[in-house]
Amino acid sequence: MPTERELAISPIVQESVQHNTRVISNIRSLTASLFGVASGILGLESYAGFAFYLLGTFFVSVLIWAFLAKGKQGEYFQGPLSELWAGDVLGGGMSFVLTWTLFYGLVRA
Amino acid sequence: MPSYLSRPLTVLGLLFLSHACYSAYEHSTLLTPSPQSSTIASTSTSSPPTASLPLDISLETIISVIMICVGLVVGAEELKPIMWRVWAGKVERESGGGGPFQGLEDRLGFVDIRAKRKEFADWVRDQDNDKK
Amino acid sequence: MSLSSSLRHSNSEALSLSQQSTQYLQKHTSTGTSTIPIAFISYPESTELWLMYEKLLLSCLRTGDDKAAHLCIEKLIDRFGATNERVMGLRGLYQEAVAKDDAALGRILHEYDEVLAEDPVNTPVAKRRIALLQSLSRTTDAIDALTELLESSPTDIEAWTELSDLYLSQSLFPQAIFCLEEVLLVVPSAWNIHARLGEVLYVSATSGNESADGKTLAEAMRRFCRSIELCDDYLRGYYGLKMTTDRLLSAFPDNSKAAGQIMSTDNGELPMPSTATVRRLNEKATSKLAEITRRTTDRGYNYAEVVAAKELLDKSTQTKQR
Repeated sequence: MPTERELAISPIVQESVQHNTRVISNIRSLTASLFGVASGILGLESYAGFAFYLLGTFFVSVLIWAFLAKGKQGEYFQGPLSELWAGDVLGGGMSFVLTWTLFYGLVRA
Repeated sequence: MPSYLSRPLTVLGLLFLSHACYSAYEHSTLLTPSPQSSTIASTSTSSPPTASLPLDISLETIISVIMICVGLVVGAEELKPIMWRVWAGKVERESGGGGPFQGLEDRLGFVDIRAKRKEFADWVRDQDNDKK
Repeated sequence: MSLSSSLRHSNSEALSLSQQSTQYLQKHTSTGTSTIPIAFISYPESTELWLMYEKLLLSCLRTGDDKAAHLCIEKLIDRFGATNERVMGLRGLYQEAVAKDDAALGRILHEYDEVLAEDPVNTPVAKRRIALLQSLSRTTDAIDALTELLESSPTDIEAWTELSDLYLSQSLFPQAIFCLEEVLLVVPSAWNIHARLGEVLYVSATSGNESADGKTLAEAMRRFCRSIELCDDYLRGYYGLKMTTDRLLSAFPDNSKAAGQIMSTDNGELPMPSTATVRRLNEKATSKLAEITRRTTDRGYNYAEVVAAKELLDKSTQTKQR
């Protein structure tokens, strides 16, 4: 994190930070449910399902990095690691499990 | 990738995904042993019927998921630069020299409306003269 | 901040905006007077709508469409009541605009005085009064009124910048500079105010006598540098930086004098920049200005500013060739 003096010299635009966080969390929650649907259809169980989720999340992170941040992650995120690559992974995990179990049950009823 | 591709891509991906979902459902109902043949089936197959999904359905699922992901990310709102320097430069160029502090130089509270009216009237006159 | 930028519109833009106003007013009048309970079906009332009315009012007044302006002000009064401070200010604006002669303006000024006697903290009306004083060329009165206003609300940055402009028009540079510094205390990252302060410093350093004041020039240079630091490719900042460094280089061509001043300033003041630094800044500004003017077609810079920058560049290359 930058110190207070550095922040005074080159300020951060809070509005943009909030906007970016919102964009990321929107994408995350949508794709998390999507991965749940997919792993339900594929009939993945226990560790395989969670591995699928983590893999998919990483894929989405790469997509965001390439298309939205255009490779310049430092320009759009204060802490790229926590905000882009790991942002909302746990929160998305909940909706992943929800749709995963739902679709697993639907397809294999 | 242009952003107008995002919606068609997402919709197509959703179609594929629902197709894959239905196929998987059909597949599992077909494999479930019917009540009449249950005695024969239970002896011949010991593995659960859900274990294997045909390769084409798995592939369709994964490809559709990738399509939807790309569609969503490409169609998402653009990120805004968080560094003041970059952001300000962008704002300045996009609004043709505006920005959030432009109000300090316009100062609407102190506007001299009579001077503005005169300026506008002069401008209109000039335009008319140019036409003639 | 769409509202604050409405004054930046060129005359033609103001005209087109006010030409749309009649249509806009009709559209919103029809929904406003329908007999069906409108709360359910019509647009929810938004702040933007009323800001739009203010904007329309301003451009209608500017283009002389007094009828539409009157409609706007009536709508605002209907909504917020005639005693709302902001509406009172806008109504005063309307009256000023349609006033026929100086006697009418005098009456309006008297009205403002009465309002302020009742309610001394009515800022919009106080501001209108100051603007009217200024419009009547009573600048000293305006300055007095403005200082009074600032005593009661010392964080009103709009008033501080206005005061700075008034002082500048009276050539009172130290006061103008002080006012802008006050503004920067409230909004330290306002890049255009940094550039403005640089401009005022530059003017004050060069207007007085033949020998340019080196310390003020150096301060102006620092202000321009800060404005560039806060805003990438800021044309105004680079323009000012080039002007100031040109001046510094011509006034102090050799390093020896500057070096002497470094020795003498040990009482907390910033030392004079060395000639090498100034020269490097000058080169940087020149190259940046050239770059900006070259690619001006695809970026949204103010056209007049770009032309001015081009002229400055041409002039400096001519003097170099000589």
